[in-house]
Parts: sequence; C-alpha cells; structure tokens
Amino acid sequence: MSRPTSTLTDDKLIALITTKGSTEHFGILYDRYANKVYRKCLSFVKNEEAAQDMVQEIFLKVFYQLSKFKGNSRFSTWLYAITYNYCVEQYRKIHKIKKVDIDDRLDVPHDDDEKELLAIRSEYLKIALDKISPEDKMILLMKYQDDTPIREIMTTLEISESAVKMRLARARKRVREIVKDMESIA
Amino acid sequence: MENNFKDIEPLAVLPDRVKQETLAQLEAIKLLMGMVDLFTSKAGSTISASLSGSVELPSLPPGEQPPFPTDEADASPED
Repeated sequence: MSRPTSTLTDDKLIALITTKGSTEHFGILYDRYANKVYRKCLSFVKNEEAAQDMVQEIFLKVFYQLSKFKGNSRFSTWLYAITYNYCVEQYRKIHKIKKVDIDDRLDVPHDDDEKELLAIRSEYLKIALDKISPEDKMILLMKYQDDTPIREIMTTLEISESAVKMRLARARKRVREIVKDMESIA
Repeated sequence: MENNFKDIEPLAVLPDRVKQETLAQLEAIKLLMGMVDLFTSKAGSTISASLSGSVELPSLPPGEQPPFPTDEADASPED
C-alpha cells in the first residue's frame, strides 16, 4: 500500500514537485510551513495584509526555485533564508533604506554574553530587534528563534563561519546596547 | 537555558484564503508557461525545419503560377 502523501518527508515531496510539477504536493509543503513563514513576515512588516501578500510571493518564488535546492541544509532552513531575504528587501523598500555592504573583517566584539541576550525581557527584545538593521535582525532570528546551526547559516547566506560569528556578535552587541539605553530611561 | 526569542514570535495564523490564492496563482502561471512553451517549441521546430529545407510546399497543378514571387521567378529576366 502506498504511503499517504501527507506523511512524506520534505525531501520526498520536493522530489515529486520538481519531477512532476505537482501543485498537490506543493500544497502539503505549504501547509507545513506557511504559518511559520507568515509569522516571520509579520515580525518584519507588522501588517497582516502585507505579510499575507509576502507569503504568496515567497511560496511562488520557492516553487520555481525548488530545483535549485540541493539539500545542503534542511529544507526549512533554505525556506526561511528565502523568507528572511525577502523580508529584508521589503523592509528596505517600505522604510526607504539603502543596502549597505557588511564588513565582516572587523574584530569580534569582546563583551559577548549570549546568556544575557537570551534573558532580555521579551518586550525590550521586541523593541530592540525593530531598531537594529534588518540584516542583524535576520541573523539573530535564524540563530535564536529557529535554532539554525552556524554551518547551515553559512550555507544559506553563503558567507564564511567567521563572518557568521562576526555578524552574530555585532548584532548581539547592538541589541544589548539598545536595551541598556531603555533600562536606563525606565 | 532561558530564551526569550521564542516568546516574541507572533502567534498569528494565516487565513485559508491565502493558500487557495497561492495555489490558484501557481496553476495560472503553470498554464501560461505551458502555452508559451508549446508555442515557442512549435514555432522553433517549424522555423528550423523551414531553414533546413525539410518543409515541403504543396505542389501546384501544371501551368499554374504561385500567388507570390518565387526564387525561380526572380531569377528569370524581366524583359
């Protein structure tokens, strides 16, 4: 007896979609991840309607790029990388911010306490994440909300391990500085 | 270890309508691309066949002139 399609692994579904162009199988993949993608979009644009449009765009993009997915990372990591990149792009458009090249050659900041960052009160953390650059926000969410291993962040963002660590350290530092300012005012 | 990043993820749920719209849009694009493919591959093969001379034009009854100038007609002197 054949296995019900809804229990197929992501990789099996992807194989079926890329060979047969099956929208039915794509629908299953959509059901698995659409809400996650939606929430990520919402955390960047803060507008339900805009976030719903973004989900549509992202999944259409994913359908046509699926053949490029080589399985070097989990499908979810690859999908979220597409999502974050799209969110950053949209955020820049909405806020009319120009893209800045990130210099990964700088030294890693010293005072880098991961525990302290993770314990920041949720309401402060939310505000701080909205104040840093969308690229910094993206890498922090990948690491601490999605639990993406450094190796997978490297692969999906196509940057070196030291660059990932550098960007994470800088982003953590920025968040801590903003939170410190907020606490001193409060 | 405490991780407040987990708490700040929005809890919103995507309406079903979005899935239907996405899949419908996908089907429409697939259909359109299929038509473009069909047209371009047919047109491509017809052009290549005509260039290689493998397309045969219907022959005319004896004595009848084609409704358009042919190479042979062009080659013949006018006077």
